[in-house]
Amino acid sequence: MIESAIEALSIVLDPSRILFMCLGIGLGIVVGLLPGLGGTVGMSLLLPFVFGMDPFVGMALLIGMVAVVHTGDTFPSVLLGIPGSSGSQATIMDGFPLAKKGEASRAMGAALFCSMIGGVIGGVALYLAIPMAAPLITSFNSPVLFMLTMLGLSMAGLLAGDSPAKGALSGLMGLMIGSIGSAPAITEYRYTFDFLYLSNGLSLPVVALAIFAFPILITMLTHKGSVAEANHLKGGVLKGVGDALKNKFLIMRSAVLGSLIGFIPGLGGSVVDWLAYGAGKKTIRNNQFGEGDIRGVIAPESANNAKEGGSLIPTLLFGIPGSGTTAILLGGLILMGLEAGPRMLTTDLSLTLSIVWTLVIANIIGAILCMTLVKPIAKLSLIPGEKLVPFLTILLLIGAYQSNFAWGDIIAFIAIGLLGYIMTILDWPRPPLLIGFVLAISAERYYWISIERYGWEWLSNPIVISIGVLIVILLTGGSIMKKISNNLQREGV
Amino acid sequence: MRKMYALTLLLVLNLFLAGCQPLSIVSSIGTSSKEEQGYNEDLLTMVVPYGSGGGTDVFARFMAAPLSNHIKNQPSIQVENVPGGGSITGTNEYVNSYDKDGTNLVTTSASTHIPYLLNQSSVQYSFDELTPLVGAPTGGVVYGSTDLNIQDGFDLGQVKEKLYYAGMSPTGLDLTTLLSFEVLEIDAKAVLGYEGRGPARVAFEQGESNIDFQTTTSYKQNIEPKVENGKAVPLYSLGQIDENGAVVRDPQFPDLPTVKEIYKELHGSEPKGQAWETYKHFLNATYTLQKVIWVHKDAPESAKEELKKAANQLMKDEQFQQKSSIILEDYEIYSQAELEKRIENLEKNMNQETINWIYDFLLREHGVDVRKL
Amino acid sequence: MTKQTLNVIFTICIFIVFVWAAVTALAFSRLAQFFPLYVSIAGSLVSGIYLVKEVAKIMKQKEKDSHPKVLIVKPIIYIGWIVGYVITISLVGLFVASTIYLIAFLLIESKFTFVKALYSTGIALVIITVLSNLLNIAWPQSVLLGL
Repeated sequence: MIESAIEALSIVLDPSRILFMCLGIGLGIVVGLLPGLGGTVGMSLLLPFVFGMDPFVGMALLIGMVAVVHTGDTFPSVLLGIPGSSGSQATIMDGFPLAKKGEASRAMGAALFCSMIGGVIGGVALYLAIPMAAPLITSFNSPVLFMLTMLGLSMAGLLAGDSPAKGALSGLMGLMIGSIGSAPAITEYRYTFDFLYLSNGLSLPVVALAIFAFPILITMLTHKGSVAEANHLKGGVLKGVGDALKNKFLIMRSAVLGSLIGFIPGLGGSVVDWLAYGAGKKTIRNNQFGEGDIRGVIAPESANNAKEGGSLIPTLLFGIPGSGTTAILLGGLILMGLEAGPRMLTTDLSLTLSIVWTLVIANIIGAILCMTLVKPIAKLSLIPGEKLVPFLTILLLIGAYQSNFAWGDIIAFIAIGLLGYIMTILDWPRPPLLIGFVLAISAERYYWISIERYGWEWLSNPIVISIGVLIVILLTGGSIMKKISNNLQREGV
Repeated sequence: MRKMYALTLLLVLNLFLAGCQPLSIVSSIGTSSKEEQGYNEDLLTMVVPYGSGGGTDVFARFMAAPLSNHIKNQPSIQVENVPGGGSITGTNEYVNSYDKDGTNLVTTSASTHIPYLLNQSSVQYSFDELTPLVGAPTGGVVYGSTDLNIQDGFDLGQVKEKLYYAGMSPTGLDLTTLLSFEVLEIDAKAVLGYEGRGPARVAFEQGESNIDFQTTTSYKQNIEPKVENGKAVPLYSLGQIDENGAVVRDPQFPDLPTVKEIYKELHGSEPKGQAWETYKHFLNATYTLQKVIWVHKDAPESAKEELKKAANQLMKDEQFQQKSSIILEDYEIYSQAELEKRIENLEKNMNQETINWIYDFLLREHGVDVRKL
Repeated sequence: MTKQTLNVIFTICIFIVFVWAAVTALAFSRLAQFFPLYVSIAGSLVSGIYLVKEVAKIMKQKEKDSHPKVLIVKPIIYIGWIVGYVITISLVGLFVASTIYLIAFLLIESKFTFVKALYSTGIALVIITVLSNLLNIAWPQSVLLGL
């Protein structure tokens, strides 16, 4: 396989393919950078062009784009606290506070470097997983998938902040919003008020933008002043890279976690960044996650680029798309005269390997390209709110509209945005709401299938039990630790 | 100051760009008024009521260029995705708000046809007001696990194990398969709620289900290797409906018996009754007529004639036939006249009895009350 | 209004929504029902308990002035700007609405000079138009004019 890998590299390095890859990278960074647009928009934009293309050229274009979306989306997440795409929400948690301190460049440097390493690790993971993909994918049955969604939801508990009740309510609200629309097991419309728009449920980009970006628009105006409270910018890109290098193991861990989760079909890659963030928060001692800890940027950014490599495994080998982006990729393959399936490992192996190389190369080029952009773009954080907000408003409304091209997108953006704003001023944690929203359908689906297929027997499955134990440790461990540290503090006083 | 001039220039340019949009509206009004002079468009819109990249979108994008080649003026055909509501939103929008001047086409698929056949209240479109241009079929094969210890579909009566079927939703493409179970009196427990045919196939591989179906390409790609390795057994094909409304073998699976043959073997007589009629009705709408490109019936005659002519020429286009084998799964598209006849037949078979039966079936077997949809 | 009062009002709203959702879910068929029902019952319980606790906390307190107040008027004005912009889009389409909104906002809120506001608007519109054309981005359509 190493021989074929080298052969694939020589195919990828063909000048015309490099050119198309760079085109893809350029587009990927732009759609990542613009809030509301993500890989899905980039894909649907490129789809008409790949029609009839040589598959190697077409894939260079598409994968080049996909690879760097989560590199470009770091900019708005860090600088404005607005998710650039649905994969970079967790970056906001610490990236934005860093920008407030005037350390946007440092955060960006660390984030971009981690994106690069994470993306390369994702590519390697894809390469390594190729021989053993089939048995691995079939080892996740519905009860295990259900427990994994529960694990994801318990991550919401970790991000709840000070008040467990507020965190739980926020998560429950997310689950409730997620259950709008058709039920997975039956076509019955719930809470749709007879609007056809709601029958498929709300779209993730709309909810993510509303819950994070809308409150920013208002608070930037009410607080008057720029994002950075300091009036000059401290720390450069290189300082951030240095920070990242100091946390090699965190990068490795998060990237491996990212590619593993991307690899599990049906879980949805959109929670990867939160899981990596939560895992980091849980395992790093003395952290100030949430208040501008650089490690809070490193963990999700390493994971979200690594995810893309992982999520290509079920897509290419099984024809099961893990996300909206990969769903369109499948369509692109057909338009180029190929078909996802076991053949990608035999007759089309060289194409699969060229995808691995494209991922690796595109991540490196993309990150370097973005690093050169950090300095000018970081100045955005110095612009006063009232001068920035009107332009952002237009950008965000157009961005939200791209989900379904319907007025419902805009109305949902404002309605959920108001909810998000109230939660912001009352200090209710918003990440649990988003995690709940993303996992609602999976939770319902796999719970139903488990019960319907296995009755209550599935609870005795050893993997289910071990994940269950892990969840209990995760949830109680936190509060016990907190109690101990509180006691220590009190004694200290 | 020079900066200001540059900006002014940009501004003027932009206003001009913005001005182009109203202009194009004016020009389209212009063309529709000279309709009598014949169909002479340079831009057609193809509405796809699904998101980009899905099967129907890929089909529409593929068909756009060859179809345009045979239309006078060779207009470029622009695909417009209007996703949402399981394709009901986009199709409703097509019949309600798109100009009916022959410049707008729409591509529908089985999941657009089912809600119409079920008479769902959110459906505002009707086959009556659409003229079909191009139609293409797909096929389906039902297969089982080797653990069932049977050799082929004729042994289905001897299965001892409990059958589990993994599917998406009782009112989607699964409906036809579920109806075939009903006809054959196969007692399979349908576990519905999977995300798609792909995850359902993985469920089969895990042993979560032991009877499953896949459409033609997916079956050939993923299941045929398993059949060769002895991990799956093909049971029957769903078949196709011919022009006379009878179930015939699928041209892609000439060796596989259809539901009809299995029934004969198991029961010793031809299938009949309401379940069988409903099965044929839905087989026709979801497989034999899986993808259809339409134009609105109210379009000017000249436009419809030109488009029909183009659709017919597509059949004789050898280049198209070569290139289309992957998209069409090696099936052939129907001639326009044949297609029109098939749609007519479909409309004729839609009667209150069938609807009542299917409502009752869905409510009884799967807990779905279609009246509430 | 103090933050605490607003928090209580917000919690009451959430409680009502959860209870309503639970009641509505009772009418769903079995397959569609279990998930929203579980979630909304859990939501009603948690929000109910939290509400009682919060109210009890307020009752215990004597002095109320020490609590931070929340801004009311300003946010409503700014939300009004956004809603107004959206309504304008629905009336006259994105392009004209953005022009009006940007000029008005920059003049009134950002205190730009007229010329500066005009040019900023111009540049923004150029960028939006160019990006939309390059990225093939759809614009929200006017409900009335179809622009």
